[in-house]
Amino acid sequence: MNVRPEHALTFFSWLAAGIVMTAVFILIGYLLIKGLPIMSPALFFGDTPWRAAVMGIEPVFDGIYPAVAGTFILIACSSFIAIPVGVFCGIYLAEYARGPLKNIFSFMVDLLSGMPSIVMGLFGFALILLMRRTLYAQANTSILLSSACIALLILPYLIRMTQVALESLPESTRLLGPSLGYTRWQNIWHVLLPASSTATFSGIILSIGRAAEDTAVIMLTGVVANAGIPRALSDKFEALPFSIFYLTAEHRDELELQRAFGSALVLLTLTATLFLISYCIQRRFKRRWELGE
Amino acid sequence: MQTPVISMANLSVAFFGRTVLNGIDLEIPGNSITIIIGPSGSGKTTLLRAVNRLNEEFAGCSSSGTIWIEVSGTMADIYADLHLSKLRRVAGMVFQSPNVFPLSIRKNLLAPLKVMHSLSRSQRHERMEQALKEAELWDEVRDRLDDSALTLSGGQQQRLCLARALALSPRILLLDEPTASLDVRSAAKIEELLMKLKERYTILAVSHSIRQVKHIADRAVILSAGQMIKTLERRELETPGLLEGLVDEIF
Repeated sequence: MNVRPEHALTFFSWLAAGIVMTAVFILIGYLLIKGLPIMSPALFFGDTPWRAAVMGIEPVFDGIYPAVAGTFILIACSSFIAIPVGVFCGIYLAEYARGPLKNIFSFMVDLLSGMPSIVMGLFGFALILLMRRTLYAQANTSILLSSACIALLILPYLIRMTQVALESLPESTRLLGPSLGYTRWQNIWHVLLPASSTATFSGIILSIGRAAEDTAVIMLTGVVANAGIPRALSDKFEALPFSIFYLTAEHRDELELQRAFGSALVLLTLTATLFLISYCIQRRFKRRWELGE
Repeated sequence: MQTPVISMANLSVAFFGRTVLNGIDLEIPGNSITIIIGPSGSGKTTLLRAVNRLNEEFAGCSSSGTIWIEVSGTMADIYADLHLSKLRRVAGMVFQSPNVFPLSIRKNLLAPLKVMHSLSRSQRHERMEQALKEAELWDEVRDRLDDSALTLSGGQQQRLCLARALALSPRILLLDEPTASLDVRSAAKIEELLMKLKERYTILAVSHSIRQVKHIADRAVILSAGQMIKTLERRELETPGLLEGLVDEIF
């Protein structure tokens, strides 16, 4: 290869990486500068004593604690729905689907992943309208509906990551189980899934991030500004991205804008913590597979 | 000739309609080493994988003809009479490059036993030790059973694969160029081991090496373009120049 293009390629790779790193640093730095000064129990709990708030004895009016709890419950519920369905769909696509059926299914997954989140929110909203007119007149938007719509939103990531992880395993790994007499399912369960777990968990991490940040879906399906902590899955709820949105959009003074930055920092920390937890689970899972009996 | 342990009649295999094996008739006697030799793409590996029906793991595979293998004294049709899982335990396989699980040495042997058999913990450990001894690996790994199998040398990994197959109590060993990826010394060790193992098992192997065929085979099956050209018995293999001449013709 000519020396000049070689150098140019190297330079641009470094440059691109540099741009990304700088952007991330500026973003986090800016959030820290703006958000750190406001970090205090008051940001979370307002005037309510924190013990009483956490125990759920007294409601929190002027803090983001209910939004933190809401976001957490939202992520937990949507993951609970989407992870098993997504992973098993991925297994189906990689290991069972063949021929035209596979192509059709793959196309549907692509379609789903290309769907804007506001459309998913609209779908959830329309579903409630339909239910009110037909089966259940009391139907209302809620954290359960939001979770279901968010689950739909993150499904394609989980499906694709699982599928690609399984399909990229080398032939030698795929044949190992069958050569020892494993049935197809035994091979998937005992060999292929553990061997591809790192990539599958990346899909899970990606989808947790997506579930944490989405605002469009929840705005149409159950989030409100002052709901407190949901007592049941049929309750309305608060969520961090939405808090950030309305704190910013409707701020009357500098303090409220600062609280938006504080909330953003909390959201970032929350997702980072969830990433870390998934990473640790993945490590433990892999270690147990590799060394446990 | 003694009663065969593997018997193939009119075996043909095709992938997506392209014929890879065509009308193979072959009988393989027990407690011997039979080596399939032939140019690349002649269908050696496919022939080997026909015995444990591993070809079926690939898309577009269609096969016809029959294969019987001897299981506890009677000849069983591998398609009709044997459960696929049982067949693959009876016919254990070792691949061209060492194909260990990325797990501890211990778990490489115990995991399949745990999945396939309802054995007690101590029975599983007993089988593991026995298999490792049979593969002449026990003395090298007994103190490091919890180390990753990936820390073993290539030759040791290949013997671990052999032990893993042996732990499932096979009758037949299918070896796909088991020494191709190894250095001379490790290869020699495996060859020596196979000479001992043939006392208890029926070995069907694929090889590229004429030297190996002449050295350890009881018979050679020469394959070209999916057809069986000739089989040579031990004494024919010892005739100087005969195998070389045939191979020169085909390659």
